[in-house]
Amino acid sequence: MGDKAGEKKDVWQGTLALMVLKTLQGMGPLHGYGIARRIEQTSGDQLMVNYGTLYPALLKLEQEGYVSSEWGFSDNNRKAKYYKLTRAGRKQLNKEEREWEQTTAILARFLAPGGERA
Amino acid sequence: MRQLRAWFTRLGGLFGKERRERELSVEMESHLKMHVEDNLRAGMTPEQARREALLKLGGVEQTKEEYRARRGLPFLETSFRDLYFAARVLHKNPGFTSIVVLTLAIGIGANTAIFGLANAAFFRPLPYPHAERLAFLWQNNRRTGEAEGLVSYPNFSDWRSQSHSFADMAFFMSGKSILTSKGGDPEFISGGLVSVNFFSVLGVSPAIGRSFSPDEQIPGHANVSVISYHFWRTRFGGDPQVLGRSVVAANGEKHTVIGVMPPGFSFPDKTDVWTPREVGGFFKTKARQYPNQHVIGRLNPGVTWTQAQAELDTIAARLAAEYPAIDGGVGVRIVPLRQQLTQKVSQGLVLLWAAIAGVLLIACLNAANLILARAAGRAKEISIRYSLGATRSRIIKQFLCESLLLASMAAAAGILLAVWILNLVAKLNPDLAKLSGSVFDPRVLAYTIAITGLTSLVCGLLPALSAPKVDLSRALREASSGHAAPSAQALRKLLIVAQVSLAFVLLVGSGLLVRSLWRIFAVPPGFDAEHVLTLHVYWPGAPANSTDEKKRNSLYMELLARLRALPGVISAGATSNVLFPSEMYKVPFVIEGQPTEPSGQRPFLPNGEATPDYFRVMGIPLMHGRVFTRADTIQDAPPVIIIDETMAQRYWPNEEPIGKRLKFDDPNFRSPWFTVIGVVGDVRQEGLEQPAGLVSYVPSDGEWADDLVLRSRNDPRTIVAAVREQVRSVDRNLAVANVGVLSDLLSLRESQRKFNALLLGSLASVALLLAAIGIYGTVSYWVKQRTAEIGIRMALGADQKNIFRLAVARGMILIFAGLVVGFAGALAGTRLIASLLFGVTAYDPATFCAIAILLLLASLAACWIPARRATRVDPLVALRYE
Repeated sequence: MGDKAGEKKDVWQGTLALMVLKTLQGMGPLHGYGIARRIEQTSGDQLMVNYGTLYPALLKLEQEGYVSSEWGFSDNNRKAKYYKLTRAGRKQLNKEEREWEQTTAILARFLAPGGERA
Repeated sequence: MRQLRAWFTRLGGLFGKERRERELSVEMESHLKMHVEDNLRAGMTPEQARREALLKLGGVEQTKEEYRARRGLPFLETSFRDLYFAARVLHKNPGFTSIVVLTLAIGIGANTAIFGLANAAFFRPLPYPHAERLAFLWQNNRRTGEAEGLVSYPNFSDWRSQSHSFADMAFFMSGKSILTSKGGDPEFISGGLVSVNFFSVLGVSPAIGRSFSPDEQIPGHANVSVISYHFWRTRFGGDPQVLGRSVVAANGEKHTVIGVMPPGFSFPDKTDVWTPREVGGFFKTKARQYPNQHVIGRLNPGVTWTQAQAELDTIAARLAAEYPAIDGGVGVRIVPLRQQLTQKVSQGLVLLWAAIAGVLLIACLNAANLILARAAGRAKEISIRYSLGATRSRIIKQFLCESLLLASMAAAAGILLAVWILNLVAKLNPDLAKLSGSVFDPRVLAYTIAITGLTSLVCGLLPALSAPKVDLSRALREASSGHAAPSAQALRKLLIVAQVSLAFVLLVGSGLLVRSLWRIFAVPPGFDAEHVLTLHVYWPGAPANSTDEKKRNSLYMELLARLRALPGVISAGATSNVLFPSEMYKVPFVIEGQPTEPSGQRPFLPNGEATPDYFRVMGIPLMHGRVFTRADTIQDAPPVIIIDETMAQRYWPNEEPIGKRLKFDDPNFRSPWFTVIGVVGDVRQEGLEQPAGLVSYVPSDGEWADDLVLRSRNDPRTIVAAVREQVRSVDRNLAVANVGVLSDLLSLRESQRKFNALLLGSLASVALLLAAIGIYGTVSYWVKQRTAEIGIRMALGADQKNIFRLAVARGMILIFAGLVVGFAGALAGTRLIASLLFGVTAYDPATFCAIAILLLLASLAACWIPARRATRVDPLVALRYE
C-alpha cells in the first residue's frame, strides 16, 4: 500500500456512518463520490484512506433504513446514484449527536488540566 | 430493530443478484469518472488522473467484494455453493457415494430402531395419572432369600394403615379364568382379583359405569365385575346397555357387570375382567404367613422414594417385633412402576444399544476412511484452491458439506431401514412388540438427527483436518494420484485398526451369547416333549357338592381310559398343571424326624397332582422306588407322595428317602403324613436356564388333575379331533380348552433368548462385513497408489507371487494390530455381559480364538481381490503412468 496513505488514520465504520448522515443532512441528497469528497474536506484531509469503504457503509445505512437511494444525473449529466437522509436517519443522527456530546463532555472532565475533581 | 430490518434486506439480497451487480458496476464506474474529471480539472494528466482515482478508491474488485459481503449473507451463499459442489462431486463418483451411504445407512438405521424401542420402554408415558408416583411393594424375606416376594393380606393391611408416605395402597392377584359362552367354545381370559380401591390407586376410572364400592369386598357381596374396553367390544359387542349384564365363570358363578374401563387399560397383564377380592375370615386376619398378593401403592405428593422406603422399613421392623415367627426378617421393598415394568427388558436393551452404537461407529470409521482415501487423491485440487485464496476453514467447510450430504442421504435410507426393522421385531418377538415404538416419535427423530449430525462431523472432520496446507509447488508437480500427506496415511491406518478391533469385540460378545443359547438347549429338560399333546378339561357350570364331585372324578377317569384306547395314543395321564410351576400350589411343609422351623419360616414345596401314568407319558424317569398305582388313588388309601431328585438330595443326602414321611402345613386342609414311595428325575419346567426346583407329586383323585397329557404315535395335532370327540362322548357337559402341543409351548419360552442371540449375531455379521469392506478399500487404495512402485518392482524382476504377498502383507499388518487391540478390548468388555451368559465364561478361550480366526480369514479374503489386481499391473503402463 502507499506510504502516504499510512499517515491518514483509518475510520471506524460507526463514525463513518455518522459522518455520512451528517454530510447528507448538511448537503442534501448527494452521490457516493460527492459524500466521500465532502467528508475528506470537512475532516481537513486527516481521514479516509480509500473511498471504497464508503460504499459498503452506505449499503448498511440503506439496509437499516437511515438513507434511501435513487438514480439521478450529476452536474455533468453523468448517471449516478443519489443518497438521501430519511426521517429515521434524521432521528438517528440527532440521537448519535447527543450521545457524542455527552461522551466528549465526560471525557473532557477527566482529561482537563488539574485532573479529576476530588 | 434496525438490525432485524437489515437482516431481512440482506436475505432479500440473495435474489436479484445480477441486477444489483450491474447497478454496482455502473455506480463504481460513474464514481471513477467523476473523480477523474475532477483530477483533470486540477491539472493532472489523464494517466495520473486515472491512477490517482483508482488508488483513492482502494481497488475496485475489493470494494465490490466488500459490498457483496454486505449485501447478501455470505455464509449462506457459500454454503449453498458448497452444497451444490459437494452434490456434483458425489454424483460424479457413484460407486464411492453408494458404498458410504449404504454403510452409514445401516449404522444410522439400526441406531434409530433401537432408540425407538428404548424410547417406548423408558420414556413413553404410562397411562396412569402421575405414574411416577406409583410403585410395586414387595415382601423381602431375608430368611428365605426372596428379594421380591408376594405380600400377605394382614401385612398389606398393616402397611396401609400405618404408612403416611403413601396416599393409598391396593392389592391384586391375576390369573386365567374360564368363562362360558353361549354355544361356543369356552373363553380363557385373563382375570384379576383386586382390592376395591384398585382403580382409584391407579387413578383411572371406568369409562362407563362405576368402579367398586368399599362394601363389595364383604364376603357374599362380591359378585360384581368391571370389564375391559376390549372385552366389552368383543364379548358384548359394544352393547351400550352392558351394565347389568353378567359374566359367567366356569364354575357357575355369575358376576354383574358394573363398569367398563377406557380403551387401552389392561393392568396388570392384559386383564379383561376385574373382580373384587372378598376380604374376610381367615384371609383377613389369620393369613399373615400366606403371601399371595401383589401390592401397588401411590406415593403422596412431596414424598421421596427414600423417605417412603425408610418409613416402610420402620413399619416392617415393628411388625417383625410383633410377629417374630412370621414376619421376622421380613422387610419391604419399593420398586417404582416404570422400573418394574422395564426391569427385564432394560439390560437387554442397553446391551443391544451399545452393540449397535458400536456398529455405527465402525460404519463411520469406514466412511471416514473412504473419504480420506478420496481426499488424498484430491490433493491437487485442494492445493489449487489454496492458491486461489481459500482459507483452511473454507476447505474444511467443503468437506463437511460433502459428509453432511452423505450423512443426510444415509439418514433418509436409515429411517426406512429402521421402520422395516421395527416391523420385523414386532412380528418376531411379540413381547418386545408391546414396547415397539414408532420411528416418527419426535424424540426418536431428534435422536436420528443428532446422530446424523455427529456422523457427518466425524466423517467430515477427520479427513478435513488431516488435509494440511499442502506445499503448493510440490503438489502441483506431483502425479494426480499423488502421495497423501503422512499424517493422512497414519490416520487411515489407525482407522482400520480401530474398525477391526471394534468388530472383534462385537463378534466375541455375540459369540459368547450364542454359545450360551446352545448350552441352554443342551440342558435336558428332564422330560420328553416330543409328540405330547396337552389339554385342559372342565365341567362348566358344575356347582361344588360331593355327589357331583364323585361323578366328575369318575367321568375323568373314564375319559382317561377312553383316550388311552384311541389308536393314535400311546399313553395318557393327568396332572394339576403343565409347565406352569408359578401357578403350582406352593405349601409349607415339614419332614418327620428333621428339625422344623417355626411356622412362617418353613420352606415351600410346590406340589402337584398326577395320575399314575403321568410320568410315563411325560417321559420322566423313575430313579428309585415306584410310581403311583390305581390303588393309591382310591379314597382311603394310605397317603403317598413322589418327590424329585433335587429334593431327595437336599433333605436326605445320605439316606434312602423311600419310606420317609412328610406333612404339609396348609390352612385349607388337615394334612396327613405322606410317605415317600418314589423319586423321579428333575424336571426343568420353568425354563431351561433355571436350576430344577423341588417338586412333589401326590396321586390324583380327579378334582384338580384336569390338565391331560397324551403321548401320541405321530404328530399330536392329528389326534386332536379324536380327543375332542371322546370328551364329548363321555359327557356332553365336559368342555376342552387350551389344547396345545408341548414342544410348541417349550419353544415359545426360548424365543426371547433366541431372538436376542439372532439379533446380536446379525449385528456382529454386519460389523464384520463393514470391517472387511474397510480393509478392502484400504488395500485397494494402496495398490492404486503404488502402481508406479509395483511396476518398478516387476521390471526389476519381482514375480506375481511376490507382489501378491506384498499387497496382502500390507493389509495383514493392520489386521494383526487390530486383533491385538480388539483382544484387549474384548477382555475388558465381556465382563459387562457376564450375567447374561450361561455355561460359558466371559473369557472363554475357544470363542476368542474362533473369532480371531474368523476375522483373519475375512480380512484375507478382503485383501485378496486388490492383491490380485496388483499382480496384473503392466510394468510398462505403470512406469509411464503419471
